Amino acid sequence: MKPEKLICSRCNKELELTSINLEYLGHRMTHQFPTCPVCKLIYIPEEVVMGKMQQIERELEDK
Amino acid sequence: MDAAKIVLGETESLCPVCLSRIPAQKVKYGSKVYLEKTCPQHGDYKTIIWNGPPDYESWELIREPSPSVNCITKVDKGCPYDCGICPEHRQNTCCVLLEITNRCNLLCPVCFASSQENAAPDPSLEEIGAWYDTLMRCGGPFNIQLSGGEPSLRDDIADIIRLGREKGFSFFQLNTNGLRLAEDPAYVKILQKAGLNCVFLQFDAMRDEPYVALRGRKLLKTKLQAIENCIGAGLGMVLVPTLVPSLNENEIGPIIRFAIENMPHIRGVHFQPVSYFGRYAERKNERITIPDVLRAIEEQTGGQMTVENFKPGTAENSYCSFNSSFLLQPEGKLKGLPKTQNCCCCGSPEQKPAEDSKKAREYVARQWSSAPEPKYVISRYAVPNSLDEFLERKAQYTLAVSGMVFQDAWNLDLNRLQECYIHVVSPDRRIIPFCAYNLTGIAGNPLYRR
Repeated sequence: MKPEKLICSRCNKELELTSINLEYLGHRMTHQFPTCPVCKLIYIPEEVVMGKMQQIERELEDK
Repeated sequence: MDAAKIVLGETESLCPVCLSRIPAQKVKYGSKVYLEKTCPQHGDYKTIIWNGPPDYESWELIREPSPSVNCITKVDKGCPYDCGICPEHRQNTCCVLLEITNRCNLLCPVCFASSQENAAPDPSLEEIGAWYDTLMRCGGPFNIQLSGGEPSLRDDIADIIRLGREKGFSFFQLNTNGLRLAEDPAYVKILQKAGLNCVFLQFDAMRDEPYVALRGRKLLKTKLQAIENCIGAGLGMVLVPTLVPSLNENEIGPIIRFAIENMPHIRGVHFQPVSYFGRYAERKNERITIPDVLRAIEEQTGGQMTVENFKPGTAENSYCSFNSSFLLQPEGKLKGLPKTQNCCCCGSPEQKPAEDSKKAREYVARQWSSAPEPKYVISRYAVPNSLDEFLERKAQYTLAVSGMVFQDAWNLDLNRLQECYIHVVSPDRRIIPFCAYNLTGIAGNPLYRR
């Protein structure tokens, strides 16, 4: 399935997949997120927040 | 000047001679804590239980008793004489040892099971099936440790694992000296295909001398061959050193380094300071306590792992164990993974006491059994470029470092025993805390094991 086209509401530019550096509890990782090429706004889809990000949070914090 | 004597608390223990229950005190002198007790018939005993730092009191986590322990026996003579488990027990089962043979191909002086070459016949598959049924009736499934004796002497382990899986168990580890695993790679593959999750490998040193003293012969080459065969079969391993004073304390660092080099196949290192039961009588009250191990880990890893990285186990009495886990970074450094403690003061409010044993069980199953087949191993130098790659790296390159101090007739604290979550199924189908099951008096007289 073709990814949904996302437009930055402020700049009216199409978001582009960009490698973003993330850090949690001192652990660094990168991931590609749709990002506005002008204002650099990053869009993190809810399914990533509630899915992989939550899983990483749980695994790094928990026993 | 001698350190002032401070009585930290009262408990109960046993006389090492007659195994009668007697009062005991935990007494602090400076940074050292001793268990002191007197048998009216056999005299005074004083055994070191803590050689800080860290400070004894700082290590304590107060657990609430589990509200629903599944009991088979009733309280009659009182702890520790009614194990089965009895209603005085305060923790649910987490891991269960099944002694599937009493035969052994090594005669280690330190064996807690007093295993032998010419032992009683092995329990039948039918009998083991009845053990599984007992465990399911008592709150199972639990993590299963196939033990002995030397369990790999049985040719039908695959059937034992399959039977357990059919009855609802999902985690199986093999507590082994590794001799057969070294000699017989085909057997290792059979174990992997049958669904064995983890090889819990007796591994005392990176040189031969400690093996000669502890196990009666040179074994390093054999251990390394067993490890190679497990790697080839995609079987995860945990290295289990028995630590004996003045013998292999200096092997702690080398063993941890070896484990790091062999991630992701080696999943953890689990230290067991020697206990004085079975064939091993106490020698001059020489003990390695939890703080001794933690300081040695910090010193011998050059500070890559620190004392502060380690915490007590949260599902058992805090003075029984320590653990931590470390994620290997692509540049080769280790990063300690913080833990949330499920104690009364710092845990998540939704953590119920009855759930800590279940949580510990799930953690062990997840961490100790995540070894991939060689073709799926990712490079230890690869920087994760996505959340998925980070999760995969975390799964493959996390090393668990832990340890457990078993109790014997000298250092037994019945408060600790009542919170034990590692149990053994006895031949008469009772569920008995590990330390009670293996406990023997000074003359080798057992509390339970026959």
